[in-house]
Amino acid sequence: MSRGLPDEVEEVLDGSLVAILTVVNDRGRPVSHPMLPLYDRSNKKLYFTSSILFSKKLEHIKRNPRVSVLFSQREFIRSPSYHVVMLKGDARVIDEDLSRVWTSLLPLWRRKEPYIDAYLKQRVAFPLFWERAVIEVIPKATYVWRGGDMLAEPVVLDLGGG
Amino acid sequence: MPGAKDLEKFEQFAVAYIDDDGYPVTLPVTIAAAQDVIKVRVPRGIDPQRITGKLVNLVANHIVPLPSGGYTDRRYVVLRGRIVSVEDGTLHFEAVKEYGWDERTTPFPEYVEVSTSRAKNYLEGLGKRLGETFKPRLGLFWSFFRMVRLPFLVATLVPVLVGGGVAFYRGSFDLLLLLLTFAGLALIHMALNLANDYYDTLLGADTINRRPTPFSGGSRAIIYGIVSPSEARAVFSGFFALGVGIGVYLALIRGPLEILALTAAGVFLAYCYTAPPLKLAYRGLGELAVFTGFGPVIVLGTYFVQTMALHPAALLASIPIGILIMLILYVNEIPDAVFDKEAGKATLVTRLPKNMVLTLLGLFLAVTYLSVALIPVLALGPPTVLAAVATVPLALKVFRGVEKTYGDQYAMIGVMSLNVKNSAITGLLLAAGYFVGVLL
Repeated sequence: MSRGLPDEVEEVLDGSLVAILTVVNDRGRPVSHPMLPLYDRSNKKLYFTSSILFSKKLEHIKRNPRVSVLFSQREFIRSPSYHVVMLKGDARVIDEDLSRVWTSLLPLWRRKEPYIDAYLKQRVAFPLFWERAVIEVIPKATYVWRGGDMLAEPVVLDLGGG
Repeated sequence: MPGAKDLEKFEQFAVAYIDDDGYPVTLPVTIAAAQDVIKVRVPRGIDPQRITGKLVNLVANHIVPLPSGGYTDRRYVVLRGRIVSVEDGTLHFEAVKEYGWDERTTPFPEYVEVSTSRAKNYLEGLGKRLGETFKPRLGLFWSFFRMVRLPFLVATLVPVLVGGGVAFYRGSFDLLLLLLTFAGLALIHMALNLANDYYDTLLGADTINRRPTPFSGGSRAIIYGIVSPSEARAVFSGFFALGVGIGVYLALIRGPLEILALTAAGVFLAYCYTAPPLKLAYRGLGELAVFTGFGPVIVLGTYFVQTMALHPAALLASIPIGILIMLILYVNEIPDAVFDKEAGKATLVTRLPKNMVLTLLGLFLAVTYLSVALIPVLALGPPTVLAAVATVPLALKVFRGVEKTYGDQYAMIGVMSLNVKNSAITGLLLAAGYFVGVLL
């Protein structure tokens, strides 16, 4: 059974406009991408959506589910409290219905990018962009530099990863 | 490869590597610029020695958060390399490769465009895995809308109305016949658009175009996989056949020779516009083909169906509308020129220097309005057609807009839209002039 993240860490994940997702490629090397993180407090899972236009990371995750995600930089995180958070976790790609699977995340997405509906209305202009897979990350371990103080030791939370 | 100095354009830095447990680690870091060496300081709790010698990514990221929510001005760069040494807890990073994106240099639509093949490969892989064929799903209407470039049917509607207007002014008008004429011509126009996409994709002109816009670079329906090449060929063949069928029907009931000749001319121009061996658009003849097809062929054809006769009034009316529709193509060729040249598609715009293209644009616009003015002067139409001249200020705006944004694909979108509006409004005013003229 997975132990949950503390509220203040969830706030950071919830308020972050960008996170750096690192996956492992087929040669065992790290591949990193800044992406919009969508954290669902109800099931304690972190999500990203990725267009199939930029699908290399999806292939990497399918071969190796191990990922890490970094939340840092105060101005990119809209939450009352600020901490730098790095989590390790296991990811899976959900891509059985690329046209629709990501739409369940729209409420979370809309909160971070309110203009997303305007883009969505132009779906006909960018049809491949809107064929999107969902990356679901279950956090296993979290490193928290409280207050963003990187000269302090991080608080390490083992989440069990169940 | 960006050096330490270039990294000053970013705020967020991270180093990623594979940890001993097999999981990647992404650490927040600070960067120190020192000539060509990138010095990286990792946070407390991380032993720099653990990273030394490892393959790492150095990520530099930038966004500008918007007060209204979301963000803009995205750019990031990932440097792949190795930590070569550690000095006083500071890592010395040596980059080997880089990847990333800067939306100022590669605007989002271009970024999307250059990634198309990856998306199609993904769909293909998914199809193999799940035993199905996957296409981007737009729904039937939007797929059709995109495939045949539905809004461009205004370029058929307006000359049909002009032809119908001249006939009305000269005492003959049958709405049902006008609708049937439009249906036949619209089918041929949609077939033209799809045949154009099919051959431009086959010949590489659309494929090579990294900066298409809603007005240029083709519909992309085949390139995006919305429709397969064989489906496209089947649809345009069917549309040509249906269009010809309506032409033959009209010929049978209204006079075979003229209507068959005009239908044949229209289909010939529509198909040979891009199709080998003639490929008119590739030989600098596309503009003439469009002028002829959307001007004299449609206007005279529509007029003949209504009146069962040809008349110089219809011929004169076809000149301004023919030029205006041709100018839609002409202006839309400007953003494509750099890619057309690469693909060997020698449109008029690719053959001429910018100043000549602009001079011709001005000349074409002048001839358009002069030919409208000639209609009442030669007593070939009512003075009310002069209402079409009211769009001269709009035409001047188009000219200045083209001059200002020339060749900048995305900056030209506004002026291309304005140009379509000018052509449509001028044509509609011209047609209305004939209809209203009867009342005077």
